[in-house]
Amino acid sequence: MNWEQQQQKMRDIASELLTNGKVDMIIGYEQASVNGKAAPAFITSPEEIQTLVWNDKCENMLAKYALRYKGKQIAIVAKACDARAIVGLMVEHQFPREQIVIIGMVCPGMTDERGRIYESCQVCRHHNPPVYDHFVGDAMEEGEYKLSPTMAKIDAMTPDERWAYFTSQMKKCIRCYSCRQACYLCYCNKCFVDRNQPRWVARTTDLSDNIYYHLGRIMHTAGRCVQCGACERVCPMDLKIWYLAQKVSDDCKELYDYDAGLMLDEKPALADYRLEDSQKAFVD
Amino acid sequence: MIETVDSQFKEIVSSMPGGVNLNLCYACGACTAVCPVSRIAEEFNPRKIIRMVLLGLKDEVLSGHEIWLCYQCHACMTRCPQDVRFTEIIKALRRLAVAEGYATQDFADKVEDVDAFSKILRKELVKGLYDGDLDEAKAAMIERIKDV
Amino acid sequence: MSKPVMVLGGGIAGIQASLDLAEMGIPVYLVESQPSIGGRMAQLDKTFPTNDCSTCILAPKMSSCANHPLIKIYSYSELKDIRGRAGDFTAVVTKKARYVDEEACNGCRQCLDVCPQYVDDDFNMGIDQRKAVYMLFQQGIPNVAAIDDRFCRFLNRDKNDKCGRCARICPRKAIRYGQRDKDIELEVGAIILATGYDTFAAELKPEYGYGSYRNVVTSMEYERIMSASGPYGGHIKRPDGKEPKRIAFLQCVGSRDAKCDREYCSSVCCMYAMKEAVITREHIKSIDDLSIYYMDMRAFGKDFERYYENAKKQGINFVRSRVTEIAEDSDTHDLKLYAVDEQGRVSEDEFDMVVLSVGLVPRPDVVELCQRAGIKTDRYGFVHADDMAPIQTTREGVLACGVLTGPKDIPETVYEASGAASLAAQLVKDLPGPEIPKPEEVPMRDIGRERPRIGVFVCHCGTNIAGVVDVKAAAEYAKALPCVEYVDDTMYACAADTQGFIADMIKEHDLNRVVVASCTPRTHEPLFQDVLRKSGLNPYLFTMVNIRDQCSWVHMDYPEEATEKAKDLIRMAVAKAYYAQPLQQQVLPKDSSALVIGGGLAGMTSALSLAKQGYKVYLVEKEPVLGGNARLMNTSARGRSFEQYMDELTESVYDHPYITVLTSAHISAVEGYVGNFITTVRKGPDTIKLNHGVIIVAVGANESMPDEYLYGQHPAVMTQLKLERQIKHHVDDFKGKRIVMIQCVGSREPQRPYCSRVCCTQAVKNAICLKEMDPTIQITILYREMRTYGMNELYYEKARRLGVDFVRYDVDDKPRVTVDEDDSNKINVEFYEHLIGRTLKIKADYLILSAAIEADRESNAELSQMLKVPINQDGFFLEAHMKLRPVEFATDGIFLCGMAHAPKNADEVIAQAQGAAARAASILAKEYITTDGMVAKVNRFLCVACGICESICPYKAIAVDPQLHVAVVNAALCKGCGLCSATCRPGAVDLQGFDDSEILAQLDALYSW
Repeated sequence: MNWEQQQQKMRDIASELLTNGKVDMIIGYEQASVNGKAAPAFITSPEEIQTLVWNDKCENMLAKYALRYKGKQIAIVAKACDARAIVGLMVEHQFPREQIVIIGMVCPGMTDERGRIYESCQVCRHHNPPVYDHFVGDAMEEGEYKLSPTMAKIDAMTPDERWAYFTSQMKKCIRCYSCRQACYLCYCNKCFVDRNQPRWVARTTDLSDNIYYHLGRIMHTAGRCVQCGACERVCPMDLKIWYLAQKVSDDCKELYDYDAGLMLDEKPALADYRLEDSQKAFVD
Repeated sequence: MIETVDSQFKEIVSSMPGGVNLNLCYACGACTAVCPVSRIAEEFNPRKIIRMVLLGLKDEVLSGHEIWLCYQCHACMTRCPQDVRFTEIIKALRRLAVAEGYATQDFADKVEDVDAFSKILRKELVKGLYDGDLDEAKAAMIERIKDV
Repeated sequence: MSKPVMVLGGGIAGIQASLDLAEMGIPVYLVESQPSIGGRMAQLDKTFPTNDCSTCILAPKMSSCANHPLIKIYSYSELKDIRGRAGDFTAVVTKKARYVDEEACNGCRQCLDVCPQYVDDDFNMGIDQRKAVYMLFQQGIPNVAAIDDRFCRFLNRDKNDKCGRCARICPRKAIRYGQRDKDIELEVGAIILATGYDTFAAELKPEYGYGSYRNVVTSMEYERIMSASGPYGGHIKRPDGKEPKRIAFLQCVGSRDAKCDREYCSSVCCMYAMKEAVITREHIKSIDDLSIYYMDMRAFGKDFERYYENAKKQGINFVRSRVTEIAEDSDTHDLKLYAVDEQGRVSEDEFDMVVLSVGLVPRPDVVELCQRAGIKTDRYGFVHADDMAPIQTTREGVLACGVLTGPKDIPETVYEASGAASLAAQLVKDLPGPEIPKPEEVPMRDIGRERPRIGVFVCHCGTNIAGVVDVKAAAEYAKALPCVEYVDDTMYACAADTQGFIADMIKEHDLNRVVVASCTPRTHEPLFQDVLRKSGLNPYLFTMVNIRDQCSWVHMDYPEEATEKAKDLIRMAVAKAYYAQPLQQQVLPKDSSALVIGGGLAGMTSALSLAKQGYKVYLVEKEPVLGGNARLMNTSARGRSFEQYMDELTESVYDHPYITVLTSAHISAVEGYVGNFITTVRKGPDTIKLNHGVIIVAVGANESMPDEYLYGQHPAVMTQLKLERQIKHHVDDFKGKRIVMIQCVGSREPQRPYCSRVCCTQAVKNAICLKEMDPTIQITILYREMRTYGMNELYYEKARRLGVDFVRYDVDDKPRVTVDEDDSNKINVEFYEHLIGRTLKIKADYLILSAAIEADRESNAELSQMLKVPINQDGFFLEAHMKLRPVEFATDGIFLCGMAHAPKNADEVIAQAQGAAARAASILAKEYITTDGMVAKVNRFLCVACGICESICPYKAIAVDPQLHVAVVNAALCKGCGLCSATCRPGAVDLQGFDDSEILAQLDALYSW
């Protein structure tokens, strides 16, 4: 199936769901006004179905938006990463399975405005949504584990060089928190950076505070993140931060053979302990 | 590779005077560790002899020279934690060896002569040491040994 | 209040029995002959296999005894006579004259300093000396002096010295020369004897030179030498002062020895020698040679085989040779011993020091007491009734536990003691007793929003802390810290009088928070919290900081830095104390019935014990009939019929009105927590929900199926259990036959690196049975180690006497088993006989395999998930503490007994099951469950119900409530470990008592100086 065929099938499913009142809202993608990009769409009536699109610009992490509509019956046009994200949120009690109809879209990868496939999609290990109500597309062969270009570059660096690279990125951060807003895992009522009793991290753009914020956020997503790359894509300062997410996710895969969001009854890697677990994380 | 032969052997030995505790041996090695003969003759091993009796290796035990090496010092018996009375068992084995034709009575008597002489030898040499005329004592013994 | 029980003996057995009874609400008189309770454990340095410090694990239990309102300790007292009968005894106790007023003495030890009379210190096994006025050991309870009237100059009217110095110096005027022995009559319903043991007098074996060669010591002396509180302060030296480089440990001194009439095995010496060697290596890195000379290495207990393997890896040299002669070099006083290897080569080995592993013998004074009191002892003096009633004596109402009933290790002692408590409780539960006044409840002062007024007490702990840390300097430093109103340094903060002093200072200086800088909260926090409680302060206003384990002990070579670190730690503790808040304990209702999972010997025994104490019990068994493995067995080692015993037991269980038996029943879910469990049981098509307060896991274990030696391929090859059945039903099959038994089949190998404990005794028992039936049967037993421990050694001896052959084989050279070519009914067993250096072959009619005992891993894993209790590496359930808590899990309200814990013999199963019943009863006896104050707390506004806390909690104490959509803490289960608090991303969960503000205050204090 090509993009158009997927798009058509997706619209048909969406239309059926809305018309028969099975869902109150469809969250999907519509054409945006800038750079040929797509933008999140929130369809509540069958007439609006035609605005839904499916193409290689549908890069947004839609699971985030689902959190806003708790209590409503919704359907989501979900790439594999979106579907996995939704599974993750269900594992974390954020919504019951019945609340979301997953229109799973087989996704070969998203591209930027110049047509280059995003790093996150280059090394994507799951093109097929693992959990879904509808499967749209022909199942693809899953990706093999490989390092992204940035990760490969960093792997080759010495520790000093890595530190230099990392701090060069951290210096750019203006603490707009777009990365946090885009990430579906960041749904706490009060984020740790917003606490002041105790004040875990100060709200300055000093290097140490920026580092604390980013590392803290990444550690909170460790073992849960699906490596969608939304965090890096929304950054207005072009920070390279996705490789940090890749690193912790890859570590979970290597140490515990765990990829997030594949099964509804799974236990996140860092919430589970088995006797046979690798000790490498603690003793090396 | 041999099979266990003549399991009656240990019954016989244990029914002889002094052999009553033969079975109790648990191979702790105390006897061999204190045995003065073991120290100078590796082939003499009280524990091994007992074992061979218990395993029924009658031929080997009774035909060997080992059972005649025991000095009858009773050190093993003093130490044995199971009261196996090895010295008595050796005597029983020697009697059996003669009775069953593995050794002659003459041979047994001669062994006793050697035992008796060894005691005289020791006494004379120690006395010689004490009196200061060891060389004379040694010479006298060399003469006497010719008659043993 | 029920009728009291008297416990004779204040060692670990007596202490455990007393605590169990007191927890059940039964008053206890604990009578101890020494001036302090503690017994042998107080003399030991470390305990195997955990290498825990013995006093450290013992002291909190001693403290609990001292503090429990229902336990009255009669120290320095002896039992003179037992009059009356079960339910109505008069125990005549002689309280020996201490010549010290127990109420007045505060343990200041000034009398000890001035006493001029030196006396051999028996506690240190005579290695050094004490004074005529003395205290048994530093952490003694009661912590009060005593005068040994055999040596006191004043009391003996010494012609040269009228003395009286102690009376003059005592600031409390506590010396009372006029005291006399006093007889007290105690009216009790039951008596528990827990008098322990003496060690074998090594002078009875002159060949070891003990007493004449100065560098030959006994194991108990060596324990004192190793001990930090011993005569050498923990520096291992030989008696002539030199540091030894080569030490030999000789096993079986006074055990397995017909020459000194001690034919039995003392059970613990193999393990304690290994432990002493391993600990010695830790003490002295440069040691050259640690050799253990043994006959069989009896490492049969839980995790002991691993300990043995580890000891070998650490370079401890194991020599299989019994040494019976030691020679001394008259100049160097070094020692020489002779050993022989299996080939017969005698070696002369030299050592600097020899430790004799002396056996355990009954105390002659106790043997004499038993004779007077009509309590039957065996020929060695151990108390015996019946091997299927290990705790009962021949005098009804008098129970016995610990080494008094036979040599055994600490865990067996502890559960036997608990079992004795069970049996005593059964006796007295309906008998009315005296009214014991409840202790005064001191009302808690509301500190409201008072400015913190912190008191700091820095402890010397003798030399444990002060030997490295400058305690006075640290105390001085504390004075300048914010909000500190009072500081003092104390010798032993845990001593009874110091506790009183702290209470006084709280009042005098109006303190509302207390910091004690001393040892570990694991053992001593409750003690100090009690001090606050009795002073009217909420116990959670107490902060403890560890400057011993975490400072003086680990920085022994750096006293200056250690002192600075101690100051840092105290500064942090004071900062934390500033934020300490009073925390409340909750009171929850509870159910008073029990669920026993598993209807075998263990399950039935514990169910019956609980029922006899008046509690309802649900006994759930997955098979259609009760009985488990015991149904398959023939007789006990002593010849008691299992079938008969089990029939009687089953009948008792079915007859008892309080026991509900559910057979063919499976547990499908367990919810709730201690005091309030709800278990779902499936029985056929029915689903039953049971409410109960406690759970006892008694699911047993199974004989494994060998995968070697032609098992399953030839009818003549069978396991010991099958042999038992064959003996029961087809014994004539064996007449005149040749039988070979192979031990350790499947045990002590990589797939099961543990010892199955029962097989040596079982093999020997079966062999005896066959031999007695027909003496012409020839039996050869091939073993790796003969582990007929304790009194079972007597059966090993009997088997040998009856003509059973025993041959050792190596695990690297296992016997080879084939079907005979000429007669396919027979099995050829080929093995290498080490002592004669030859391979032998036996054409056997039957081959019996002593197959390993294994846990049902799958079933246990399922149950462990449901109950949230752990399993060890070998698939058996894992208890809370291997030595002192052998029948309970870390999770409150769930207990363990029988082979589900580890393989064991039937008498041990019975004792452990009765022990588990006692521990369970201590919860059921209470009116309600009290929760701890230091539990997690959830901030509902921050919590997003992600559930990671629920996944992470080891105690199932926190869970997301689906309706409230926040996490909720179960205070009854919460152990205050803090994992949830650490894991919570928005920081919604805080651990009260260690909340974020307290921890950050400590960090700020650490980094600001």
